[in-house]
Amino acid sequence: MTGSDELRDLSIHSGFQNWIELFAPSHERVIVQLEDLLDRVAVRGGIEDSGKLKMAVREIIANAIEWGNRKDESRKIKVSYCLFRDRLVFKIEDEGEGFKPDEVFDPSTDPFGGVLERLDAGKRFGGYGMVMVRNIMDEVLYNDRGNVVLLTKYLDE
Amino acid sequence: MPEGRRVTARRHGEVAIFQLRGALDHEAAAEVIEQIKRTFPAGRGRIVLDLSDVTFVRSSGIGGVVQISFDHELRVVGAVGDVKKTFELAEADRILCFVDDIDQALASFEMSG
Repeated sequence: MTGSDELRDLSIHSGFQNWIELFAPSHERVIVQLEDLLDRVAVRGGIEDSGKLKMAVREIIANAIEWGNRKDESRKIKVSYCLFRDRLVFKIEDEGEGFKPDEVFDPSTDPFGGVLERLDAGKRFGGYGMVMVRNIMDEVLYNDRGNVVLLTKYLDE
Repeated sequence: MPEGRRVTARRHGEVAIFQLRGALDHEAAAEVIEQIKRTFPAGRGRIVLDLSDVTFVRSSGIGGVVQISFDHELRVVGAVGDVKKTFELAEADRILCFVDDIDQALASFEMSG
């Protein structure tokens, strides 16, 4: 696979080293295509453990594809990243109807209650992605509609 | 574990031991759950989940493991390094029973009667 093949699904709208903005179709293969980019972002931000950063961004992108855009490839996800002096900020946006993060069951407070709630709602098992993201990133903010999320990681001075 | 198979199962008395390879994601967890249903069609069973050959864990896979522990008596073995760390980040380590190896898992079932 060549470098261009690896990024074939991504439409890059801003390619500055400290500010990248791209669009991608709602397919899980783009998560793999973004791995290399996330590695480079971590290096530029001086983050030694890129694994956790990638895990958090991957979870949000996977949610945008599955729950936001319902895997409809005609709908795009928009991924932006800005490197500031003291922080890394990711913005991930989908074209879905959005959701209310405060109304989503938090399995870290009642894991088995979460299992029952998801079974009752006819959802597949899961629900741990947001817990992981909140434990990895320093800030997780949603817009009112719930289809745009900002992830912030403060950098060590 | 035979090449190409993500999940293999074997029995040790009344305990079913499932070994995963590669990614523990939604598909792998769903496959284990299906095999568990076939192994214990009447309901609750004793299960060891061996993650020593797992290289990558997705949150959806963790959800599957938690569901297994909800429905059955579960011991998780072989979770080390990044695999264990992922369970910790999801805070699922607080409710799952991790033990070092299969022998310890089997012994813990015997101790619990």
